[in-house]
Amino acid sequence: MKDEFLDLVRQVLDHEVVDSNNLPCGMVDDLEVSGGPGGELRVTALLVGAGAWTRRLPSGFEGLAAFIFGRQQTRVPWSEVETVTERVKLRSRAEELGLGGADRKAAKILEKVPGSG
Amino acid sequence: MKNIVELFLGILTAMGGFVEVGELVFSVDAGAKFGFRLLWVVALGTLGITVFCEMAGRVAAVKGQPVFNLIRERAGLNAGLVTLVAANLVNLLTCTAEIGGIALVWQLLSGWPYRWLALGALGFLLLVVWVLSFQWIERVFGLLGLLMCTYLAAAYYLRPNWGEVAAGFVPGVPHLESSSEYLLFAYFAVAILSSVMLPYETYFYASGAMEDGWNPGDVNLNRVIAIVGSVLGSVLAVALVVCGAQVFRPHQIEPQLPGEAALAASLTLGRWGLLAAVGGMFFAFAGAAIETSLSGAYNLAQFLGWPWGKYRPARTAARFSLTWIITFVLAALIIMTGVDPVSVVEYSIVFSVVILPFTYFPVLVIAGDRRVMGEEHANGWFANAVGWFYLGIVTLAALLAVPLLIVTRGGKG
Amino acid sequence: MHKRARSWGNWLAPAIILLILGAGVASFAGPGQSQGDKHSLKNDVSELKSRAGTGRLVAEQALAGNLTRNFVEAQAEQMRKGVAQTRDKLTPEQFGPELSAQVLQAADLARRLEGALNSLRGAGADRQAAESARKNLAGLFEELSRLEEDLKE
Repeated sequence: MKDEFLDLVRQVLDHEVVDSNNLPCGMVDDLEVSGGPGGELRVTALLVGAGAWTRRLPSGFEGLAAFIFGRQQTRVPWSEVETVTERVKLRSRAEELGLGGADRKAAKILEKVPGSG
Repeated sequence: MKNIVELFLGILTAMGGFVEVGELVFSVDAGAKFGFRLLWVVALGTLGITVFCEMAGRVAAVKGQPVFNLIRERAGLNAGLVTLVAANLVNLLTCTAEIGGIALVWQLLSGWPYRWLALGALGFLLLVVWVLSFQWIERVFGLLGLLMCTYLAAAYYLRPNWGEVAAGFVPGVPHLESSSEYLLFAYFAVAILSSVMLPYETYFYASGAMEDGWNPGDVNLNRVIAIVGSVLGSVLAVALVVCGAQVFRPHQIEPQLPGEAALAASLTLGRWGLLAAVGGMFFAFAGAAIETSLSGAYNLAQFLGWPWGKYRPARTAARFSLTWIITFVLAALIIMTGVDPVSVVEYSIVFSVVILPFTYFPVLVIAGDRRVMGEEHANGWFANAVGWFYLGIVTLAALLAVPLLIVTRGGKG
Repeated sequence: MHKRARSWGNWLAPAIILLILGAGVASFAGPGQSQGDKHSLKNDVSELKSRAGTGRLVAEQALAGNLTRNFVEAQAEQMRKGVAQTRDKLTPEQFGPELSAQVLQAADLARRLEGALNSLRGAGADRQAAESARKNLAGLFEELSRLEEDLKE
């Protein structure tokens, strides 16, 4: 990272997350921060998945969005982050981090159709 | 050599893939109602779509980010989500209109019942998008959509007064009988602008650039394709206006259906002209149906960070694939409920213009941001000035669209 | 720069929701529901006139051998459907009592137009049937034009 500091809201939140193979595996839907008032705050994890972003919607819409997209979310430790550019790139593959599960489930449906490979 | 081929194909596909059912219906009807007096709106819209497609394509080539990725990043989650929902509802509506158009056109060829043909169109589209690669979809529908050039020939043989045609490109409002006629003119101006600048074209163009694996080296290719493709596409729209003005205006007929437009071709070019025009409409509508359903899937996937793209096997972009499949199915179901396809076409055009400003704003901001795009690839002063000018125009059109729809009673005057 | 983008986001969401809702409400409530007046009756009549005019064009083109049989059948059917939709709106209750004579006349013309389009559809290779449909449609076009003129002022 060239800059002296990282603007979390501008440069990390709502950016695309790709795994070590550059496969998209979600967005930075929320950030997990540890520490408390008076102490040092540290970003400990990226939260990826509908469960994370639906919580950020205005109340009222949260329930509706969760009904459609579900509440699943995955915690990706900050130590897994390799680089932050337009995309947040991770050090491991999506499956190893528990990301992209919904796509693998959806793939089970499509696999039955010839020509899906 | 490869570049020249790619350029040629890109331009032809951009041209053939440009006209869809709403543009066809509104252009011919605009010619029938107002002669050549709305041609300047076609030209205005053409420069606008060129500018925004060029920007969206440039951002995609340089940063590898398509439109809805940018919207999420720049407008934030809440505003972005609302834009996404609105854009995809409009995409669905446009896709519905195209499937209705395909069924109408197939009916002209086969005489079979409309609803069964809508079901057949669904099967056809699902099969084609499932089996063909992105490049082949572009080529097949773009190139065969060039059968629409029949209307170009028809417009020529209809012998319009070319001086009057040229005068139509000068911005202005004709003298009309009553205030309701002026409102109708304004409604048609907004609708023509919308039909030329349809938002899905920008989504699809930027995502398509990434499907084709463009990189910063393709910036010039992007510029040429965006400019030449949209201009040639608009030549077709101009031809349709001319056909409307020459065939229907003298009889005071206001055409609504694709088959009525095709009469312009049969009148000048006989039976083969008719068949070519009908075939051209089929490929143009089918191409647009595919572009809208894929756009819906691109938008959703880019907003939520799913793997996307026709270049990936369906299995590795599973949610993306399911989204375009579901879009086709929903659109066909709406048509099979028996809604009037003409009204669906009309609403798809009016609602499209409402979301145009929200599509263009993030593209304009990013393309002009030197820190993001770099000195070399950011908008120059010209692109920025034109971009903001058009943002103003489409915002005005978006604000006027719904009130005009109401006061003109759905464009009836 | 970034802060600006986010504050834009704050008013953007309500703005889009309002526009979309407005458009939705307008499309359902706007054109369809209002009590018909002279102007909307004129619009309905012009629509019928347009279909009669295109019907005549189709018949002429069919006689000239420029159309296929399927095209004539399907085009006539598609236009007949539109005419039927318009005819359903043409009841005296939909319009004020002062218009009932014209409404009934328009409804009658719409019915005849449907009949004419039906016979065009069935004409097939029969030139005589196509010719009589053409005459019929041309006559209806004239009558509808006159009615439209009456309703104009």
